[in-house]
Amino acid sequence: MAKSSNEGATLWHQRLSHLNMASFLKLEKMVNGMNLKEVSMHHVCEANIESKHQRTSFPKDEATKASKLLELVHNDVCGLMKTTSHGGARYFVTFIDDFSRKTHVYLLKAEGEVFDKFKAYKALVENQTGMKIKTLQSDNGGKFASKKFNDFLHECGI
Amino acid sequence: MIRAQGLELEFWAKVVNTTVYIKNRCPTKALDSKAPQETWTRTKLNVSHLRVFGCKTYAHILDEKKSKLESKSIPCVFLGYCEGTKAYRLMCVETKRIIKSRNVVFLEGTEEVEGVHDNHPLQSK
Repeated sequence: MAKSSNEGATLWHQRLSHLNMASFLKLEKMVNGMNLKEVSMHHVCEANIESKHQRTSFPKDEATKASKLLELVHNDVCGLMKTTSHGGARYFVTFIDDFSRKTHVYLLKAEGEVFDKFKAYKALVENQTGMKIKTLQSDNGGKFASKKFNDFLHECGI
Repeated sequence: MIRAQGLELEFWAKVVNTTVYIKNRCPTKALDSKAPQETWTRTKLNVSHLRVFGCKTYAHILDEKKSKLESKSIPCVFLGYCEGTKAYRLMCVETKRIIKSRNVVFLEGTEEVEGVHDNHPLQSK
């Protein structure tokens, strides 16, 4: 048996192919032959960090909610539709204001029209409300990530 | 909506527009049961003009556009609301063209509209 208890825990951790701490403690109570005096909860195993590191989860409770009209605008493109509409549209893009949840929808013939429709939307809503769009939240799809679009957003300070 | 009224899938764009129009006027959980349009305009909503999507309608024809003995209205399908005006968007059953009209009689209770499915201009493609 290992000399010190902490060393013993490390050894057992390695013997159990780097078992996680919760299961480790459970197992220790279940079986005979694991005679640990004390298990350190703060035991650090570098191999684990290297191989089991995960992405930090997004905070659930801190859902951002705008406090003013047009402070945050969500948008997304839906398409390609299987059937072309009467007017020849195959996609549509939605802009949703986070504060009022007011949705505007524009029909598109091609994805590239998103930029023009955004400009139209921006002009319309800013005129209607007298406020400015502060933030635009999208899924970073190819149509939003174009250089022209980014430059425009940059110019408007969005 | 398409299924309920037995319309062709080509009408999806009209459905998207109308759905958004109606959703903006429905209470939502995110706003504590207020409607988006209400929050947007800060005025009380009026929904007295809402009608059943895809229902049969008759649009009035102006006197100067017809002769004395011609019928005073044409049969249409209701396909949505106009932005900025109080008019309705209708599709003429005969010509399949979209028209806007404020003088409309709605037959909301009736089943699917005859004539929309037959020889549809886009159906043959």
